[in-house]
Amino acid sequence: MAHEELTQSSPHAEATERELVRRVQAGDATAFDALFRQCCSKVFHQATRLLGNAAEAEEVVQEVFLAVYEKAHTFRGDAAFTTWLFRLTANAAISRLRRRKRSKEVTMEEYLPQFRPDGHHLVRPVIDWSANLEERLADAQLQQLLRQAIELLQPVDKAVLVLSDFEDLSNKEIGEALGLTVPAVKARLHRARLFLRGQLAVAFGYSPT
Amino acid sequence: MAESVPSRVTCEQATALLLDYVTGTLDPATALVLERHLSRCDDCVAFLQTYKETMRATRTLRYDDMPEELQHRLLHILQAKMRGVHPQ
Repeated sequence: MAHEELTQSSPHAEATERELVRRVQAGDATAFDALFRQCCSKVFHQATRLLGNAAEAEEVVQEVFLAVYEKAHTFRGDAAFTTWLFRLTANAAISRLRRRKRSKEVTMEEYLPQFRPDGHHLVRPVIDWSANLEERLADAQLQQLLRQAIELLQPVDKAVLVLSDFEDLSNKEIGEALGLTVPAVKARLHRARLFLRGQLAVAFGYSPT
Repeated sequence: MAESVPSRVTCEQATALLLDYVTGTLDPATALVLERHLSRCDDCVAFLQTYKETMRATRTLRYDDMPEELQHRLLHILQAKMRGVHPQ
């Protein structure tokens, strides 16, 4: 189950990827194979986190690498290759998420903090259940609950969260990958984290607010 | 820009600052105002702790690795597709 933490490529790997893309642009098929072997896991992991299942992630991997082959000439190297790859993956996954019929409508606001007119928390006292969560981090049931909560996020919010908390991209890089301004990235990321916090609070028997 | 920083914040305003605060990107003057609020508000301290722990829990989530066999299979499929597709 477990795998290494995924982050942006190291400078050395990034240089190798750029060289491989340059050779793909020149029509070198062996370079494409090498690029696929080097980067396919990143795409698969990101797609799995966005889509919640390996079967669709597999299809996204195909879609993304076919796009890499077809559009290699459009990669000018302004951004890191990995950022370009994340953008292709996020766009492919978001399109699929938008086509999905939402089986269960969840009102996001119900899980976000609410405040009184004077700015205080609506439900007081706010309970600190962080120790319960820390104790249960490795608990499969808790992991499943968090995965389900992530599933409930809106597609773009989910993509922002995945790129930030799993892929470790900066807000600027996420903005470049998803076509969002940095303030928009931050607003979506904050809302997504508040929603997940609210879902966990309810699971522990407390008010999300 | 310190002159635009309010001297105190409400719980609602404090909550809106948490994203930058937990990553250490909040400007020092605003961070000081937030910390002053936190020193007096147990509700916001509890909220901050649960917000931070939620982030940590999310980051520790594990998903399945991509099996070697799947990598080989997908590369073969792509190679077959690429024979019929030429770069634009």
